[in-house]
Amino acid sequence: MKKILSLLVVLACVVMFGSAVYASTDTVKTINASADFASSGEVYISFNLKNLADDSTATAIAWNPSAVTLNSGTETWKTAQQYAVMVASVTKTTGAIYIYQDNKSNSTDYVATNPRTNQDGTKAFSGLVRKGSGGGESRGYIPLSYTMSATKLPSSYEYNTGASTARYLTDKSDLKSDGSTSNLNVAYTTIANINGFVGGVTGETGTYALTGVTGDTAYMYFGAGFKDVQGGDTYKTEQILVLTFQE
Amino acid sequence: MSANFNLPATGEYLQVKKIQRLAYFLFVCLFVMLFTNNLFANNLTDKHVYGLFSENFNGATQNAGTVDDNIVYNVWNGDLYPLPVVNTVSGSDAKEGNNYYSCSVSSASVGWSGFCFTFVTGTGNTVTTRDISAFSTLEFYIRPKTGDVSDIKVGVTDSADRTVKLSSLGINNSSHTWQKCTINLSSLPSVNLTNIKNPFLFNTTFATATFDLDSIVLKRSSIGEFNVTIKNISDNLATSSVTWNASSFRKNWVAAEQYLELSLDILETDNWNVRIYTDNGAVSKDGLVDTASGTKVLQMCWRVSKNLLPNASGDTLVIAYSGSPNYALYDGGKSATDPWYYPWFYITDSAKGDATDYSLLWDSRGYHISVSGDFGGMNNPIYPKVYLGANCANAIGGLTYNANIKVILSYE
Repeated sequence: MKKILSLLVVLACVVMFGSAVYASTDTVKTINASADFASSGEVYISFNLKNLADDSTATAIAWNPSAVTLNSGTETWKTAQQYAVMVASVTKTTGAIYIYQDNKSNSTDYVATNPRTNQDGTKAFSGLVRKGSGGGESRGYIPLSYTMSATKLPSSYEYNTGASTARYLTDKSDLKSDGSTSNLNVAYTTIANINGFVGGVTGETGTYALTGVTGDTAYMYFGAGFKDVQGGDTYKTEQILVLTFQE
Repeated sequence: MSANFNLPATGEYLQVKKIQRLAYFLFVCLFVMLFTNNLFANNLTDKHVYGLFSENFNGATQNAGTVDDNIVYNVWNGDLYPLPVVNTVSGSDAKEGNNYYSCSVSSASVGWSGFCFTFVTGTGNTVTTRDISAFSTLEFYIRPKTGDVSDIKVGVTDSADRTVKLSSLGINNSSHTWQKCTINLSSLPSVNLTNIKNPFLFNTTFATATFDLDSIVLKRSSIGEFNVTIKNISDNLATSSVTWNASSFRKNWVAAEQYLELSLDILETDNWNVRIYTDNGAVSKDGLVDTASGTKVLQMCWRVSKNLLPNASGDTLVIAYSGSPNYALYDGGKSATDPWYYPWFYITDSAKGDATDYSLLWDSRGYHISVSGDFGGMNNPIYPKVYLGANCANAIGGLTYNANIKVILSYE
């Protein structure tokens, strides 16, 4: 017992003196630092159309009729003759830049009064509207889509709907399959947000950033899905809207 | 019942006016003292560690004019004995800071010589005495070089020299390294610590030796304080936190609007240092972290200076950078090619658990001047200033970024 006690005493001494040898004394002062950018930031975009052929300035988007096979019965996507150069900046966390249509606000000849039904049952007012049709199920629309690129594509660029970067252009009046109003799908309408330009969609509502962007500039190309067009038809939309948003 | 109101007689009235003026004068003096405390500090009264020859601790200043802590140094000799040669030498081999005293005494068959610090007052450096009874020890470092220092006496002077031989302090004359000497002041024979003329001296009789002296301080038995005061760069007034102006948004490296002023009055061991970290809980959070998600980090940096910035010497608070992706940060007012002007260090988070040069603000070598490993000693008043910077280039509008910053004095 004595031996155990003396061993404990020795151990206690080792611990005490051991800790004394290596003891470090710290005096800690804590400071709070902050940068308040709650009121800072901007959402900005310049959206300029150019002709794919020669990069000259354009004022409207058009498709070459001779590139379209009439009444083909198969949806074939064609690239518009124009593209958009976008210089955008979203530096506010709640900021975003959207693109969508409002075909109900077209002029009388091209106003969309009746939607078409998509394969999933949703109702769409988007796309190019055939003159005097009011939209509807029978040849009333040509669907539109867009794709974004970090670099300017060559004039020979052919629209590829198989690419994951292609997104349908949606209309603010699109309806859900049950007929209720469909709020715009943010994934399909967002051009840019705080993470930069949006490159495409993942899943139903997710997006991913466009990679390889230099500075604040990216490019948008437009596609139209031709299927049942006939000679003498004219399709048009006057309401492709590009909007900035911030709270 | 009646009430009277009598004006004082003329003489009494003038006395009242005098008192009013005196009170007003005292009030103004108090105001000035409060806002210029460093300039008029009485370190002998205030400090626990009083530097007589120190580049890290406030104390006496040589030929300080009207400042309270005014000393001069003297050498003397007797008969044919030569004056001691005492020079200030700069070198990285200093025990503390950059400078030390190089001393040389020569023997003769007769005579004596000495060196001392003497308390003086006024612009004419009139010799005076001061009360150092609050201090318990006189501490210094000596490095014997040639000859024999054993019989050299060190101590203080009141009405007479009160000294002990270096040999009694355990000095190893054959070891040419810095050795610490601690003199228990109350143990000096017959000393009157309330009436000290020379707070440090050495004197010799028949000795030939060369040796160095450094880090000469008086110390109290009680432990002083280490403090960090946050001050505005704009007016040098104390404030409660460090902030970046909203105009820093989306800009590369920008200095904060405040600086940290360090005040050190603790010298328990020579193995001490002051470090700075963020204390945000993760290695990757080594900067300002957004309060919304806790994932977005604006990198931070720091620099420490003995002077206020910017200043007339061309030191700026412009944080320039070169190289990519590992930017070297330098003073925008200086040359990018001179490593001396790389005073900005990336801050690290305490979660990293290391103690690299990137956290070291200050140790016995002085304040950490540059990334290339330069340290600098300081002169009174010694209150190093720590400036902070942040890279706000990727800041996101709508967010607030915070950092907890720790400044730690450690000694073993």
